[in-house]
Amino acid sequence: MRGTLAVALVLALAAAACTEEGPTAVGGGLVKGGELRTFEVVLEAGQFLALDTAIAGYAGPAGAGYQVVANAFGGALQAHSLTRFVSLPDSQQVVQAGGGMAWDRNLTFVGGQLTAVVDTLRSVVEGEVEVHLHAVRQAWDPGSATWTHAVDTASVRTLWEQPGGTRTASGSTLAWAAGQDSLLLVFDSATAAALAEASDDEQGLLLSMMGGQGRLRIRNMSLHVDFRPSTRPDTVIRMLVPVTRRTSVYTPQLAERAGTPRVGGVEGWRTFLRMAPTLEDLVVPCGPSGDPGSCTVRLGDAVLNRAELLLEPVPPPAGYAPTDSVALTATTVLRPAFVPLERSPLAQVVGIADAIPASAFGGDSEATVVVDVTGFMRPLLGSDAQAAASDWLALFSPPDGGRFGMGAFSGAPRLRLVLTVATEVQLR
Amino acid sequence: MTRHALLLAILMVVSAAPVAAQSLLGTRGLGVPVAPVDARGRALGGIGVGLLGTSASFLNPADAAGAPRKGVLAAVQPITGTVAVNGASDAFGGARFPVMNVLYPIGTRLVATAGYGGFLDQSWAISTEGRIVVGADTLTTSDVLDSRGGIARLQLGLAYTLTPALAVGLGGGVYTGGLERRVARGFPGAEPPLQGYDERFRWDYLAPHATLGVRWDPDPALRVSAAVTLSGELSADSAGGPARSATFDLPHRAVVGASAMLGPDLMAALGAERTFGVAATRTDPSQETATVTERETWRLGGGLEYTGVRRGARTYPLRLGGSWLQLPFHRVDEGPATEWAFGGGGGFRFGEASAPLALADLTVERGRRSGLATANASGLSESFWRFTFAVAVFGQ
Repeated sequence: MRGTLAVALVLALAAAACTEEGPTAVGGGLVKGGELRTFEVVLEAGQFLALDTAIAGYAGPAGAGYQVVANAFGGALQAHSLTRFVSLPDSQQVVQAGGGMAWDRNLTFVGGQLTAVVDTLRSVVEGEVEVHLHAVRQAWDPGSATWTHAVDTASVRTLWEQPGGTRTASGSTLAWAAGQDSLLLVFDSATAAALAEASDDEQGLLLSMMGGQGRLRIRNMSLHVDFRPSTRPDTVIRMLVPVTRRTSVYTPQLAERAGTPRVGGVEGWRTFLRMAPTLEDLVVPCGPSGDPGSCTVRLGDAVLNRAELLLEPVPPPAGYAPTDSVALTATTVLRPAFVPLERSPLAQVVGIADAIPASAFGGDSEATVVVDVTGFMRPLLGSDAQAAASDWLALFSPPDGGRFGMGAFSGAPRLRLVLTVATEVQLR
Repeated sequence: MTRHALLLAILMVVSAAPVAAQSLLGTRGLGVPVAPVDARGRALGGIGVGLLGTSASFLNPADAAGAPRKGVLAAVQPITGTVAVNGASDAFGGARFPVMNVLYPIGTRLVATAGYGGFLDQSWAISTEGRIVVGADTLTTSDVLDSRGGIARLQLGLAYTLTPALAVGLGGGVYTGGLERRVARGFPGAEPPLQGYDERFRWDYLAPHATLGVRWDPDPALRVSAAVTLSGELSADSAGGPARSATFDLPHRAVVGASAMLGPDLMAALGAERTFGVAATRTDPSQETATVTERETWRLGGGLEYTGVRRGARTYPLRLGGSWLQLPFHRVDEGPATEWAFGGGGGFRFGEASAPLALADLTVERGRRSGLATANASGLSESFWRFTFAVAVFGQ
């Protein structure tokens, strides 16, 4: 009993003694060593980058979820929308004059109407333009068609007989001015017949733009075709024809790689940056701004508080200017062996920039885009031993291909680092 | 009793190091000296040797001679106070376990001891707030410099009773322990947020020591005790972070104490400790110039104990005493520091006064440390309350 009491007493004393004490708010000048210095370093591209390349092809017009029709946009861009529909039927059940239903195998297509819903916020038109509707007159592949090729797959490449899509003469024309949210293109029997008579590989409607300058973004389309049954020639019946595939073809087409940073666009540009392998050995000034040479430190010996990639927006290639804000996300890149860079999967998101307004890419903006890449740089510089270091960083604009216009940046990105170093902590 | 003693021993060994912020004077050199003394020893001057009766101190291994029972003694020591540095003040506090000691009689003349106690304490922490300009940004900073750890003394000893009046003791062991220094900076309120800085430096300490002691009771009412401890070189090995290893010379020390019964129930105790064999100025191997100096120091103390309050088999001693000591470390451009403390306390003894079955003691001290003044600054002073609790249990 006596021993138990003593043990209990000591345990209680120990527990009471083990309370955590906070630091004192005085005495900051007592200690030599361990003094902290936080400073900023801005590295030029040549100091921190080993490779900087932009690659396209992570998206395409066939899967974009929108179509583009353009004329001389940015002084250069021509674009046509191509839409394939369910094949028009060669027979249809028709209500007879005396009642009842009967199959009519001798339909006469007399016209129709294409309705295109325009994304007015992302369409730019100077003045009034004309939109023309055509029937396609050559077999084409909705998944691979380009301005020059009707089919452009790995095994088959077929040129359009007419660049931009071999087509009939315009079957319908409509004037369109900024602000109108839809296009109603009524077409005649010739266009309807062309649709009905086309083979499955050939069938499709093409929209082009003439006059003025602009780029229309079409969100979706619906097609109604009118036919006259042979059994009731006095009656016109309208049928809805669903869309099956759609794409856009455009010129100029850009090379698949560029030497300056690009993100987004209809072809899903991504920019890959590889950090210099000896970055942590780079010696940088850490002295006060008035006397930066008074102190130097190896980057790997400092602790990284924040890292920002600084990008200067520049005008994208003609015709590819964004019409609304551009999102920008930075991720690490997995580099499995034997996998080329363009197929390397993206890994962890490390930074998201504020939405970049379209005006920043106008050429006269002095805006700087800041991407927080602290999470990427800390393992690389040894400031975070727990995280795996990757020296590849990708910039892209999610979702890939979500906008036709892209973000482009100067080929000289900079890296702003906020670092802290401590003077050596002395034992005594 | 054995099971409880073992539990106590394990508890105290795993927690014998200083546990929290203690003193900003620990920023100097290898820290603030900690005497491996229990509550009774603190009340009677803080020297802890040469006390008639039971004592937990193992500074003189000969003091254990004649212990009739196996036993374990341990103490815990919370401290709280106010620190003032150049006109600014703040509260501080913490706790440590200054001593534990196990007694194990072997036969009638030999007693083995195993002691673990404080030696130098380097536990302190300082926080500072500031504003800095980084590029185009002005940032608020919150810095913490936190030091935890110190050097403890582990000692195995043998006490041998040559004659009823004369005993000798031999002890040996190591100075052990470790130190972790944390340097941290946060940026509260920064927008966009910044990652903080948090670096830790760790060292492990190790040094040998040996003690030779003697205890002489020329009269049953008078005890004189003295011991000399020789210390080897202390190695501070890097154990984490960018800490650099270093070695230091530790001082040797001589301690003498005496106590006498002034009456049937009144005892007086006096003692002194002197460190010697240190270089006047020492240079940290990691530093290019000498910044810290260590001096040979005195520790003096004494007190009175009254044991006239009894009830049945229990005795309730009352004590009063004081101590004064010189702190060994300061920078070369600073003045030295000293500490004084006065206090009192009491406790109880269960069983015979000379060989109790259990005891518990409490000592409360009021003290002040001051020093480190420079030509331009008034230095540092700490006023503190120090509480020392001790318990012991013995076998039949």
